[in-house]
Amino acid sequence: MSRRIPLSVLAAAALAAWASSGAAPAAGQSDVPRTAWGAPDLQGVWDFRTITPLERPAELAGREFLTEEEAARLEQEVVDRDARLLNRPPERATAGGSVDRRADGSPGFYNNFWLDGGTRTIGTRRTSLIVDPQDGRLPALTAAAQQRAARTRAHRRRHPADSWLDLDAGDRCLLGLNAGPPIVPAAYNQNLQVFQTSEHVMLLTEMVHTVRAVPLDGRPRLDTDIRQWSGDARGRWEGDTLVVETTNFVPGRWWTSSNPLGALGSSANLRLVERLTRIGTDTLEYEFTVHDPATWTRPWTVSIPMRRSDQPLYEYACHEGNYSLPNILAGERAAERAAAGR
Amino acid sequence: MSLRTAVCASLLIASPAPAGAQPPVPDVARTPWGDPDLQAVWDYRTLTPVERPERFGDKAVLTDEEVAEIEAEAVRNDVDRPPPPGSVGGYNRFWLDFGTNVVAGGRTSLIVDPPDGRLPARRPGVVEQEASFREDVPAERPIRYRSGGAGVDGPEDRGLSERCIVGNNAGPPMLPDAYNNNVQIFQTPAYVVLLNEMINDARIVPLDGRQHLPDRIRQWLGDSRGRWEGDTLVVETRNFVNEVAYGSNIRTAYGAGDALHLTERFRRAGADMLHYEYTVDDPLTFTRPFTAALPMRRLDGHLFEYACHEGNYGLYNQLSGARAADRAAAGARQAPDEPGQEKEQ
Repeated sequence: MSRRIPLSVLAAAALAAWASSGAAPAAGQSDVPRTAWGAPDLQGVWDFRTITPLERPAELAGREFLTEEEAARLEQEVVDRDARLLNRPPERATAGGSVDRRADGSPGFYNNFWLDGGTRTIGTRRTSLIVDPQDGRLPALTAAAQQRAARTRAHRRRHPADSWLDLDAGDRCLLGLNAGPPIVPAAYNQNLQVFQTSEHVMLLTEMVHTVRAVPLDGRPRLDTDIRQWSGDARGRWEGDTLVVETTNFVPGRWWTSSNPLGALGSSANLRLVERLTRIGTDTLEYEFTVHDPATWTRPWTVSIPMRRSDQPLYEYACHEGNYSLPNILAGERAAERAAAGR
Repeated sequence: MSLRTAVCASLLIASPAPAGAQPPVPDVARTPWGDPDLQAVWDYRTLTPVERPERFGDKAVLTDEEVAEIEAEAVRNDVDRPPPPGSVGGYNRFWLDFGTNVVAGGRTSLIVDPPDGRLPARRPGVVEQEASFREDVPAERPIRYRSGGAGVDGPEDRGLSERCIVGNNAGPPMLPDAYNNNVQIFQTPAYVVLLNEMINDARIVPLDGRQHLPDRIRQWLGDSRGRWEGDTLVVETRNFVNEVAYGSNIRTAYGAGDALHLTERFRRAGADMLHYEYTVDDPLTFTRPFTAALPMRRLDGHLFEYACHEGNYGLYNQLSGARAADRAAAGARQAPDEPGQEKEQ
């Protein structure tokens, strides 16, 4: 489908974007389902699994789209790999006998049975989820952000697990690893359920069972001193597109390596603009633009077509079963004692 | 049903706005698709306890003087007092927010059925857990009450809300307590969302008549299904995990969640009131069902994010303090505790 925001405008107008989204109202689509009060009906469970990577792989430089054959081959490779790994004999440890270990004796991790990244590229066959910049790659970091990232890496090397504070917010169950905001496909539970009223939109991600209640009534934002993990979101309709602008994030919010915002944190001034547009019965186009000039040298935009799912969400009690976090910390303490010769 | 008769009789005496009654609500705001509009932030603070205090005997309704006295005392107590000498202190009244009002009508309990305002008798052999805020009371795991603890050997010895597993007041059913006594309701033709401020928990209630989850799928918040009975929203919830149970306050738990069947009723009573009523039917635990009614007031504010787990240093500190005491008792030489340090064995 055609994009509603000319990319060149966005690229040229990063500053202007601070004051307004710069988006032209989308033309109303006649075939989109509507609520009783006439808004486009975005409600449903939406599946955002895809094997299309966030950034265009280096070997596809200059290629905006896969051919049909290339997409089919990539999808078949994933199916074959899943089957191969699923049928792989378990690697049992000798001690205890019930722990799946890798050949080098290290404890195992989620295998492919547990991971659920889907088996499909996105319908457009675009080579990356990033649609702007046009090379499909993240823009350069600012010098300040590079220093911040270097400090974070150095800290992690020196202090991998002194405290839970050294582990990311996903490991700590504070934020879902794929739930954002913004949503970026990863791992499993890749489902979003949308509810709408005339005054609010609710965005519920299965991962960590986080719900965002987005007011549509134009109320003022929270004071900038009030900071929330999911930020402070305000929504509005631009034609048939729901636009959600979120600010007031916890500065430096650092939650998962699978999401560049999560891996690098962000500045206190991060402004996230998400756009949700229903395309026919079975597709919800989810697009977001990151405005954070203290971190990125220019804004960047991602587009993810989500597919309608007939399955319900289940309760995800992340914190209840999070024995890994204490085990990581206890393991580090044991290693320290061993190193000290105790 | 004799139960319904009993509930109605009790409400006639005690409550100006009976829920579950059949006639439509006059002049109720409606959604574009015609359902009563329950959408708002609702404040369920109250000084009225779930169970009638023993001192009130068979008195169902407070006198105006008694109401005035209870409410005045709450105002007097609403101050930021320092802890007594030698105590590390806990939340004082400045932090707690039960409000300064009893429920409209002045009932002595939120329970409206049985008529004595007390929980029905428990069946023989039912596990009852009751915590004390003064000291830990030993009990077998799993701990099912919300707040307090049975020991400090591990997090599993503490109440569910101390562990940030469930909110202390968020239920289901909702139970006024401590602070953040707010629920925001959202409606669509096919769903109702009940978003509690406490620990930011959302309950998604389908209205489309779909079946409950299979019996073996169990959730902390259960599995809710809703329907409209006239102008009353009725939400039925089951499939609770074994590790929750009903309690008349956050320190008690009766039985287990296995057979807990909860029916909640929401009915708008004018522009600024929501009548909330729930019936607990747990035949493995209680000798009969019982019903509590809790009027909620509309609040012109919004909910804030409640990141319970993020700031839960209290739980960690309790456990690390206990480990330090263990080591001191064992006479072991010990480096000072650092954040993140796990127990040594």
